[in-house]
Amino acid sequence: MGALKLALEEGGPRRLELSWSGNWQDLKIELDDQPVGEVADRLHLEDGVEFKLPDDSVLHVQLLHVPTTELRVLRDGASLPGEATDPVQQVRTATFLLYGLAAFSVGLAMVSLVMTSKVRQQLPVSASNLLFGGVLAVLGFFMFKRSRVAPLLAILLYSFDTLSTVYLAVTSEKVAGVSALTGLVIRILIFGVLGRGFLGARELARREKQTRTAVPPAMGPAVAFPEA
Amino acid sequence: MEAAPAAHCPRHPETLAEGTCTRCGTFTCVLCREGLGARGLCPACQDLSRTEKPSGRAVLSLVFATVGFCGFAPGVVGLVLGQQELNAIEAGTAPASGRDPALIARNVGWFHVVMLFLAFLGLYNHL
Repeated sequence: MGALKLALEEGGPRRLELSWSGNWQDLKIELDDQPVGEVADRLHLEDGVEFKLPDDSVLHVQLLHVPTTELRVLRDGASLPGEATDPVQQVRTATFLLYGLAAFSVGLAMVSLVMTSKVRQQLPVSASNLLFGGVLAVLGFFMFKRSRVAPLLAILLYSFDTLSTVYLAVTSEKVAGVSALTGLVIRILIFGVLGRGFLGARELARREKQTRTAVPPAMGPAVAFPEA
Repeated sequence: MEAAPAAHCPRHPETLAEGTCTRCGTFTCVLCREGLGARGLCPACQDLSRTEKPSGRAVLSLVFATVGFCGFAPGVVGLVLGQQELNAIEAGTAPASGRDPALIARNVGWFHVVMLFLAFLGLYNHL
């Protein structure tokens, strides 16, 4: 059983409600508590279905696997705000993730520094974690500014981190445990969110460029002065 | 003495006005206010608020929260600015687009307060 409430415009009230039972069966769509449509079959939902809203706009709903399962909801071909494929939402999620990871890294460094009895041995490890956290926070700020470079740099950083973890796991005499595997899965999810953040920032930059080129150039005098 | 005529909503002339927009002062009615939350903005100001860029204070609060990762103390400034910005958004005096940076600044600011406490605790333990 799941439910999703979406706004039709950025910052507007969440009037559109999608609810479904287990395994994405029996999807029901309501706008202002009035039924819009239903999709009983999951396979049908994977193909994509379209409904007409009261204002004659077309609502497209589709179940995607990219790689996690998510619902794409488009209105007249444009993503709805807050929906997983909305570029603003993708940038927002990547920003929150980067700040979250920064806080996690710094928090871990500080706690281990306070708890340890061997400060001198712990200091280099904690310092590198603090530095890593600081870099992630700066990247988070630029992600908020819709930079396309920030998520790519974060992906690069985490790639090095993943490679070093895999290398250590392979060369170590100990057998890699569940925690190492969990770490890898978490990193894959991080890559997914950062990758979408990059795509979202690129899409927003494209839209901004389109809007700028669509604005007519500043007009000169409407009537030219007749030559004497 | 004659009673003053009741004002009507400019967008819904058939409805009596029940208040004014907190931003531009235009009359609003029950229909206007439906789903607009506690900010009390008229539909036009709501649209404007959505498309506006975040305020300088919202961006500054995020800058302080980010700089706070190098020393924690600036994060406390980010916390204060972030909370002020969130209050201003709620009152309708700041653009709603500043909600995200203000929210991050406030939450990260609290994190910095805890880290500052931990740093002092660590210093106290090891010195």
